[in-house]
Amino acid sequence: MAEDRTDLLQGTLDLLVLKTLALEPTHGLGIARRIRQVSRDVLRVQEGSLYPALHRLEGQGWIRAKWGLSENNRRARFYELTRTGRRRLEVETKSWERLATAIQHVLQTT
Amino acid sequence: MWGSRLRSLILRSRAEAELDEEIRFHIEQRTEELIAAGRTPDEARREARRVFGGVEQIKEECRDTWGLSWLWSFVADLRHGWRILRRSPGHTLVTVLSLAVGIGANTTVFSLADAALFRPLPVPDPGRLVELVAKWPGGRQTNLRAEVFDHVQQENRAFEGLAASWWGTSRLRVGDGPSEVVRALFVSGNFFRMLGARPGLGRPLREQDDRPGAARVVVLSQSFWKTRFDRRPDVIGKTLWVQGGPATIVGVTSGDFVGVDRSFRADVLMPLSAERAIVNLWIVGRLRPGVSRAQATAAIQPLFRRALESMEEETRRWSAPERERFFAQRLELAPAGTGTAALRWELAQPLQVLAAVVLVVLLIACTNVAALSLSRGDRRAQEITVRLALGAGRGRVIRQLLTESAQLAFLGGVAAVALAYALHGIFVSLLPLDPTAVVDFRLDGHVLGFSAAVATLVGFFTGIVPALRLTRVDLQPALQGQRGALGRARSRALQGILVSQVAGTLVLLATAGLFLRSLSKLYEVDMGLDRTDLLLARVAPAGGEGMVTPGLGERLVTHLHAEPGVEAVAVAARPVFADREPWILTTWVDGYEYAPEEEQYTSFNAVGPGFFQAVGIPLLAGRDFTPRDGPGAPRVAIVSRSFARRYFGEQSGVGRRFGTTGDESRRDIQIVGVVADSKARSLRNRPSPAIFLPLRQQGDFRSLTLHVRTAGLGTGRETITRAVSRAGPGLELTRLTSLEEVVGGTLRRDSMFAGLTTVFGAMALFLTGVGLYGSLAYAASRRTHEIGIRRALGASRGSIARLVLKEAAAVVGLGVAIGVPLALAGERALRSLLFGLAPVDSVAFLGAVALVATVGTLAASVPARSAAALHPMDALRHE
Repeated sequence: MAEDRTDLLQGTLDLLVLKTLALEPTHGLGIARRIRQVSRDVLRVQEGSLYPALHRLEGQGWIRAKWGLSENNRRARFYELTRTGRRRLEVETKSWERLATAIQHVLQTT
Repeated sequence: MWGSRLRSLILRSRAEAELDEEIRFHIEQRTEELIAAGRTPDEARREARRVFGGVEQIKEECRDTWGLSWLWSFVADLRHGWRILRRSPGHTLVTVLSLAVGIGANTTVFSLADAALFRPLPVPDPGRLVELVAKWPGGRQTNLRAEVFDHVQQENRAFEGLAASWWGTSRLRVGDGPSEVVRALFVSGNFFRMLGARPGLGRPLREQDDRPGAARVVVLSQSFWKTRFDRRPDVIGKTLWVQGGPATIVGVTSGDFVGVDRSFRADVLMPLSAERAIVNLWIVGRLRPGVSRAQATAAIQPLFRRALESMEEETRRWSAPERERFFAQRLELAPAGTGTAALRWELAQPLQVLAAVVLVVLLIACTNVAALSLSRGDRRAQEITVRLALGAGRGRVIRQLLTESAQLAFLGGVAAVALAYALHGIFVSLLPLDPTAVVDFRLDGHVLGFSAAVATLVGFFTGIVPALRLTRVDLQPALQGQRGALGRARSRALQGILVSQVAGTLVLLATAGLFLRSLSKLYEVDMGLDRTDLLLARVAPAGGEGMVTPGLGERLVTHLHAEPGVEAVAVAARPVFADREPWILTTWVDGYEYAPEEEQYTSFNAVGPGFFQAVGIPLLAGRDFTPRDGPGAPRVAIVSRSFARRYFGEQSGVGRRFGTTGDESRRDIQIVGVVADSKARSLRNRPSPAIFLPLRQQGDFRSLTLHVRTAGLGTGRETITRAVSRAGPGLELTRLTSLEEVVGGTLRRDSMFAGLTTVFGAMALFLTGVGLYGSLAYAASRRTHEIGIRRALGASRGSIARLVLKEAAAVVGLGVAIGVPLALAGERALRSLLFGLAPVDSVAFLGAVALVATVGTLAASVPARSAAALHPMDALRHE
């Protein structure tokens, strides 16, 4: 069942969370859903493991949390990107692209 | 950083609840999604949980990101630190002792300043209390003329009330018992109401009590009620005899009542109207809410001016500069919520000196602690290196070391508070304060906060330097046990610390020696009279009204003469020695031309026959006064040697004439005798010229002073008290002291400095001894291996002991070499406070050096002996 799904590379979870929140503020479940949809079910996050990452990113000041109402009117904790978080996303994106290009380069030449 | 951690700790429960809710939302929402997708509720719940993962583990991971882990590592640090401290109890004890002395001395001075100056008065809203201060160019005072109170007390726009007080002594008698002298505080009728002070028993004094013709009433102070009346509640309504008449006890003050002046504690409180002889008053007011001091000053200034103008007539008799100064006075308001300005002025300098000295003691204590942890460094270095090598971060290890020094500082701080409690009384007695001053030690938030703050600072600074040094090691050689290179740099730093400690201690000890020597020189100074066993008894009309005639004084002299134990007795208008402005006469001396700007003042006293013989001033020429030198007889005088020398040069002056204040042309006073010079006001200054006039030719005085030389001071006092009470109810003894006490009173500042520097010199000496001992013992134990080899190669026990002693001698020698020039510079700076010492007082300096050397030797002898006692084989097997 899980063979065709890729385990999340360590450290990339941050990048995915930041990217997801850059589109719109949402709660933890929303982030998990979004990652699954956008990656077309290839990337499967153990949903709980999102939370330590979210709390850590919050502690670093890259995202901030607010209580709001979910789509069916329940109290939920919404996360949004801060200004430093937006800068961080740019840095992480660039370094990810560099890494991806490098790997692709390696794969193509050999 | 600490703030945010503390906050996260407080917010913890909230954060915990939020985390619960956040996760619950996730799982429930997911379950609903799965149900919507067609699963059964049970299945959906299970699947949602499975996809989520271990809830508790995830919560734990979240908590970790909140920065709470620091708490657990802190607890671990505390445990580890405690183990380390317990492992070397000697080091711990010595460090804690050093810190206790250093922090304790500072806490004491703080608690003293707090008690005397910073603690609010125990009355409602003390912040609105202000005290009236008269200021003029170059001076200020809070003793204001009673006329000022008459004018300002009606002010009621800026002030809720203005009350006045003044203190004096009074005679008090219960029933037919013996009478005693008590301290009385005379207060205006509104005093209690203005302060808002509630009585402990009965009622306070009221406005009606302070009106002419009001029934005589008295309020007892709590302490007087306790000691004199055994806390009996039935004293209210009783009558006692006080201040020249019967008075009804209407109340007792509350336990914490201090009035507005902490500098003395009254026994009884009476209305101002009970004392008619009051000239000056202290005036305290309570501002209306919202009125600033500046506004109140502006409101009251015109009234003050009017008061000064009302005294215009009186000032006409004064000299021009005196008048000018009097009318230049302006009124200011000083905050009185914590007590009177006079006490603050008085204590400012001594407390500054104290603060400076205890700071030196604290620095010595800190260097001690730093020296001890450096000398232990070698042992710790290995442990720390291992931890660093095993991957502990440098920050983590530094934090661990700081926790350790904080633990030591905490223990030191606790011991310091105990020490401060013990020292407080000693320090109070060293300050220029009245013995009844209300400056008790109180273990309140101020004192605890202060010692905690000092302990924290000390813990940090004594911890951070060794921590940085110890964690900056090159792992390789340290792990391999090559400690030589490491140890040498550290032992040089250690020696530097010890040397500076010895030098600092020497400076303190030499200063203490100088003050002590100066004090003993002052006590030995030749006053020109015989000060042993001489009692001074001031007698005045009972109740403070009226005058004493010379005849009455001479009758007392005759009575006392007949008493056993009285060797000599005479009467004078004022005491032969007193720390007060002298009485002065302007003189015109026959045959002497004054230069235009020359001083014409001479101090004088009026004395009865036998005065010079009684006080031991030698008569150099001519005769003493006799009973015949009375009102009708020719006017005569006896002058001092320096007076004679000023006006008559080498001639004795007996037979010459002079005139005094008033009539310039009448020079009708003939000099009949010349006496030796004597010091009349200060031991420091040279005697100034003096004139003595016969008491009988000077009329009546408000009081007279009997000079009685007795076989013993104790029985002498009783004899005098008895003789005065037998002289009749109209006369009372208002003061009875020995000349030694009066002289001692002028030396309070000298005694204070001598006492303080001695106490702190002793503390510094103790700390240095402890520091030396600790470091030498560690140094010796570090050299155990080397000593073993030396012994094995044939070195004698004595030569091993000498090895340790030599190290101590080098430190002490260098410390002395640095300390002596510093102490000499200190002596020059203190020159004006010292008396009768040569430019370099060798006794003080040699004494200080000897003390330091002795303590150094003692500190070195124990480690020297134990090093010498080492068995060579044990020593070689060491490690």
